[in-house]
This record gives sequence, structure tokens and C-alpha cells, in this order.
Amino acid sequence: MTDQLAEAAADSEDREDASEVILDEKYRILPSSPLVELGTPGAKAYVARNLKNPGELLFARICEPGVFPRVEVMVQLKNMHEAAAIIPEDWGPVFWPVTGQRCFAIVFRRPEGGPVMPSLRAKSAKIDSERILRSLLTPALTTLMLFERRKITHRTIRPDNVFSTGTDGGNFIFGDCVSVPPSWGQSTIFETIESSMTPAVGRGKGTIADDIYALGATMLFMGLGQCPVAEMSDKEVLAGKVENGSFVTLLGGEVIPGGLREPIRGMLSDDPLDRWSLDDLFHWSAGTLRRSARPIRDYRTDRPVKFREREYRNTRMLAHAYGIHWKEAAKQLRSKEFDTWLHRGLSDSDLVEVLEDIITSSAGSEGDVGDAKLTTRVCSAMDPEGPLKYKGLTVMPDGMGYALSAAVEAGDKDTINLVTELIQKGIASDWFEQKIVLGRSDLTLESKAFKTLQQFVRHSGPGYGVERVLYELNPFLPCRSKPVSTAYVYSLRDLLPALDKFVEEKGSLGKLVDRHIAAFIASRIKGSVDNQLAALEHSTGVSVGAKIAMTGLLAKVQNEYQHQMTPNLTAWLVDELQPAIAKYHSKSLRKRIAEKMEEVAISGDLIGLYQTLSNKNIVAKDDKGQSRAKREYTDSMREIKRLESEEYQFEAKRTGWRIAAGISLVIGTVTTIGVFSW
Amino acid sequence: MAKKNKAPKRSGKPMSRSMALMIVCGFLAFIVAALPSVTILVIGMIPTLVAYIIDLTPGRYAARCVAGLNIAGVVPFLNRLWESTNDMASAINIITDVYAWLAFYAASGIGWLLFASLPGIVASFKTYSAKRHANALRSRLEELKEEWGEEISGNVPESQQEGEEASEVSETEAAPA
Repeated sequence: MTDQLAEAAADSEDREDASEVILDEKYRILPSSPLVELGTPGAKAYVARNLKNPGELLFARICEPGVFPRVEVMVQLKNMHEAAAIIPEDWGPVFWPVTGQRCFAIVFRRPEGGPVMPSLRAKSAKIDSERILRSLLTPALTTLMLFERRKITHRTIRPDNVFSTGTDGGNFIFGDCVSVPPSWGQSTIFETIESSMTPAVGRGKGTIADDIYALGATMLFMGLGQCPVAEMSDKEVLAGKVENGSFVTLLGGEVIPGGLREPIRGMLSDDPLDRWSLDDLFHWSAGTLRRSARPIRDYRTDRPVKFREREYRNTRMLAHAYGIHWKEAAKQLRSKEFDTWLHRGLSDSDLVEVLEDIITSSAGSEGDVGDAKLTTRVCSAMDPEGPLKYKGLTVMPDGMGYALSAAVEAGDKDTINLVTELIQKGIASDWFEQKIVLGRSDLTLESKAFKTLQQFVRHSGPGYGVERVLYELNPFLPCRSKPVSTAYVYSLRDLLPALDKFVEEKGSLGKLVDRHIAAFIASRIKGSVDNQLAALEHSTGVSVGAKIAMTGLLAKVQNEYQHQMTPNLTAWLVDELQPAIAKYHSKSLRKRIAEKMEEVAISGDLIGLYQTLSNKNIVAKDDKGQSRAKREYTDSMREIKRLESEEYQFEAKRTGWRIAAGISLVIGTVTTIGVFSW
Repeated sequence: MAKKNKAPKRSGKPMSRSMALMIVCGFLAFIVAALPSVTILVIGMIPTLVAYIIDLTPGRYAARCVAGLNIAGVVPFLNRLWESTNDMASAINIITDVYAWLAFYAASGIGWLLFASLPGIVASFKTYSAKRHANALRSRLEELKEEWGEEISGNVPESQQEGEEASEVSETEAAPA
């Protein structure tokens, strides 16, 4: 309750004074003092102050509406003080006067120096190799090792997000990686070929190998004092990387500074198996690197294949084109010409065999779904490291959550439907299975997770469906339900206060059964809500049963956060649930329940409200009482009829006769005995 | 099973003709031997005999009412007979006594009076009691209706019930796929 009051006080304070915003009663953020050089696409930077220590140099990033930060990484980073990276000090949603709604704010300690390069197009002084290795690579390797141990990635390593810690001689540290989704706003220059083929929102958190690649590119440009490919478009960069390799493309004809060639070539290797690992880099730094020759996967073809008026000599690029134009690709894959090319144009006999199997097994399954599945499987075989491609959607499976959240935010129904289809038809889990068979045993958990998601999508009721997938894949995504969309409710703890406040301001929630709220609760709650979800699924949104079930979900949340009483929400629910009282047969019971509901409406006790309306014992007692009353009614009616019948009158007369006969007999007997004994 | 289904055996043998003859003979002998008493009984019990003949009530309750009191009127005279010489002369003496006749018929009259008046009283009492009970039951029915609604009487119009069911169905059909 104290927290609530403090939050409310802070909120009201924010609204009154737009010149500053207080975060967590510890930090003051100044909306009127932006810091352009520390901003990033999707999260602008502002001056921040520590309330207890105003001299401390801080800045805050405010995530724009629709941009969701990596809270799970913040939690990990907060305790990694030995990491050479900007560490978030504190975070949380605040009312942001600039946007007029609640936004997520993250406070960081401000780096002493500026970014190594203000932008990719800018030229800066060349940094000598020795300093790069000493001041960037060495601390960066330690940092990435810590990241790897905690299974997190940076994904925004680039020269304008690497900062110096002081004047000449200081170390370099990584910039912020938590205020935007992974790889958000990252140029394809710093992305591997497979990641470059994927739109930024679908790249996912990736692996440390992706960070090593970006670090290699950053080191290269720092050594060169410029980015030679800054003017190239994403497509040109990708084509160059595929045709000539990343190292040659990014070098852009420049001469690499001495001492950097070997590690950067290893870090920019396009084959993930061949790319230098953290161990390799540590050993190289120590002068003990011994790399045995590893087979390099060759994606080149012996003969070109023509697709959409263009000749392809590389299976990766061919897979990329197939993924985009999947219908034409399926047509070509089933043609005799492709079969001929398969046997003459590809030297990799294993790949030929796999492709033949895929095409043969897809025979007879023509049509949209069959064609899409065929293309997906062929692309996966041609480019095993590449993203999942389905009906034009290109996404890394670990980026599906971000892709879905971006699509929901943008109202992109096509992408939402495609992601749903991917999960529902088991294409995503099949894709993982295929990778596991090819030796990626680390994907077993993901495969299982997608099978669970498949179950969720198969149910259509509130609490399931694509909304459930959205919140399961994005554990820190704020609830997208309209009533709370501006309140930035990313934790279940904030849901009831936000709903209560909404009802207080607007008078009602609109509709009670909300698919987003149901899915948000179902994915975040600790206990089981299967009963409530089943009730929701088996009834419609307007029915009383569905409303009670929804109240049950909200009551579960209150049960988890006992102190959160919601008088406004409960009072509205009581009005909304009045028809539920009519379901009871007994008038006195209805009266008792109505009185009880009035009581809970005042107290804001959702649990009490739900228990009042869903008590099975009371329902059973009421049903039993009604049956008993019906029986009693019928019996009484029969008795009245009997009492008023002619038979009863005659029976009464007969009784009189019997009594008279009895009296007569008694008199006769008594007289006889009396006479003879006297 | 077949044995079980057999008709139960009759408990005694049928009375033989000689046995019946012996009983009739015994009865005749008794009449002859107790002729004075039988004479008083037959003459004294005539009201009962008449009541028995004219009684149309099921169970012949009128005859029963008259019989009990008729006996009460006859017994004192039988006692007088047996206390005297107990011969035919004494019996004739009694049956020619006007007080004896008064006693026989007065007692029978009281029997008739009993038969005529008591059932009416009892019936009235029982009807009154039944009416009170029926009223109490009617109050209870009202209470039940008040508490549980009109539907417990089964008088809810069918069209109303069908309407409720129909609205339930349309809600279900409106569910999203």
C-alpha cells in the first residue's frame, strides 16, 4: 500500500511538474535537457541526476512507445560491475510529459569520454593497433565472457556505441545494449550474413559469435579511422559479403593496420564454425593460439542457376531469394530443369541427397501450404545457418518474439498471421528439429518451447492464441490491452493498480473479457489458471460465465499481490456481474450474495468477489434446495387436493360411523358385563 | 420354482355333511333347551334385525350402532328371566311387559340417534381441520414461490423457457472461431 501511495504521489508530482520526472524516488530525469550524442534510434537520451548525489554524472534513456527494452538483460547487467560496458543503474516506467504517457526509463552512469566515432559516416583519427588490442579487445573479451556465462548477448557493438573511459590511454567500453531490442538500429555492416538476411526486428538475441563479428568490424573501422562501406546500402553490403566474404567487403580496398589482420579475419569469418571464438581470441592474445584446420562450408555452386531473371552462384543467396519469392521458388523446385541443375550444378553430394529427399517427399502436396513448407525446408538445407523463411517472412527463431511484438505494435496482420501459422502448423518446431538433427543440440529447449506454444495457438479462447504466444515469447513485454496500453504494465504487479486507475478515470473498462489481459495474466502468473481459462474458452465474452472467469483471473493476480485492493475496479465489476446473481434460484440467497457483493465492492476485494460468485458448494446447495422446494410444492398441492376432495368428506363421515359403532359396542358390552356381574 | 408357484394347501379338510348336520342338530337342541331366553332375544332384537335390513351404508354401520345399544336394552330382561324360573311362562310374561318393549326400542332409538348425529359432528370437525391444514399448505406454497420463483410450480410459459434457451444458443454461436 505504501508502494502504491508513493507511486501515486510520484505520478501526480510528475504530472504537475513537466520539467522533471522522478524515477523510483532516487533519480530525477530532465525532459528539457536532451543528450543527442547518447541517444539511439528508439530511445532518446536525457540528463539525469541522482537525488542523493547530484554531482554524479548520469543520463537516462527513454524508450519510445512501441520500443520494448531488454529488461531480462538489465537484471543480469546490474550486478556485472567488472564488465566493460555501460551498466544500467535503475529502470522502470515513468510518466513522460513529452509523449504524454508512461514510458520505460533507464538510468545509466555517463561515460567520461564520447563515442569512438560519432557516426559511421564520420571520419576520426586512426587508433593504433596496440591500443585497440589493449584497450578494447582485452576488456571486451572479459566482458563477452561474462555475457556468455550468463547467456546474454550485447548485439549493438558498433563504433558509435563504444565509448572511451577517459582521455588518451583509457579503456574503451561498450555502450548501452538494453534500451532497445537486440540489433535494433544496427547496420547490416555489423551483422553476419545470416543475420543481415533478416529484418532488424526478427534477428533475435543471437549468440556471442554475433557479438564477436560486430566487435571485429568495430576494431577494423577504429583501426582505419573510418567505415569504408558506410555509403553502401544494406543490399549491397549483403551481396558483397556473400560474393567476396565479410573481411574483404568491410575492408573496402583499404589496407588493414598491422597486428589486426589475423584476429579480425578470424572474427569476420562468414562460417560460424570457422569464426574465432572467445577462447581463440584469448589464446591469440596470449600468443598460444593453435587452430587446427577446420573444414570450411562452401556455399558456391559449380554452375549458376537462374531464378527470376538472375543467375545465382551461391546457395545462400539463392535460399535468400527463394525465401522472398516462395511461390515461384516452389514452382522452380518442382521443375525438371531444377532437377537437372541439382545433379550437374552442385558438387556437395550430401546436399543434393537432402534436397532430393525434400522435393520427393513434398510431391502431391501442392498448394499454398505445401509450397511454403517445401520452400522453407529447401532454404533451411541450402543455408543451414540462415534464418527461418516462410511465405516471405524471414526471422531468426529467437527473434520471433520481437518480430511478433513489432507486428502487433504496427498492426501488421499479415506478419501476425504468418507467425501464428508458423507455430500452429509446427513449422517452427520442425525447423528446430531439423537443426538438432544437424548437430545443434543447444536448440532442444527452444524446440520444446515452440511445441508448447503450438498447444497455446491451437486453443482459440482468451488466454490462448497469438496473444499468449506474444507474452510467452516476450517475458517483459508490457500488456498491450487498450485500457493499460499507455500505463506500461510490464509486470503483473502493476496490472491491477493500472486497471483500477483506468476505471477511476473512465468509469469502466469497456469490455471485461480482454484477450490481451487474459493472455498477459496466463503467461505471467505463477499458479495454475487452467480452470478460469477453460471457462473462458467454453463461453462467449458477453456471457456471465466468461465474465466470472475473467474476474477469477484478476482475483488470481490479487492473490499473488495481496496488498493490492482495487475498489474502483471491483465496484465496476460488481455492476457488470449483476446478471450473475440472477443465476441463483433462491431469493434469500440472491439477497445475501448481493449484500456480500456490495461489501466487497467497497473493500476492493476481488478474491472475495470471485469466491462469492463461483462457490460450487453454494451453487450445489442452491440447486438441491430448488429440487427440494419443487418436491415440497408438488406434495403440498397433492395434499390440498386430497383434503378438499369428496372422498375425504366421505372418509370423514365413515370415521363418524365407526366411532358411533364403537361407542354403541362399548355401551352394549359394558351393560352386559354390568348386569350379569351385579 | 414350480413347487414355489403351487397354490398353498388348504389348512383344513372341508366340513363333512355329517358334521354340519351335527352342528344344526346341536343348534336346534340349544334352541329347544333355551327356548325362553331365545324367545326374549329374538323378540328384543327385532329393531336390530330391521336396522340390518334397511341399512344401505357400506359396512352396515347403522345396524352396528343399533345392535350395541339394543343388546344393552335386552340384557337386563334376560337377567330377570334367568333369576326367575327361566321357563316359557316367565319369558312370555316379560315380552308382554310394555316396559320391556319400551326398553328394547328406546335403547335402539338411542342407537339410531348415535348413528344419525355422530358422523356429522365428526365429519364437520375433520373438514374444519382439513381446511385449516389446506390453508397452511397454501401459505407454504406462496412462501415457496416467493423464495424460489414461479418456475417451481411448473407454470412458467413454455415460450418463455424456449426463448431463454434460444438466447443461450445464439451467444454460443457468436463465439469467435
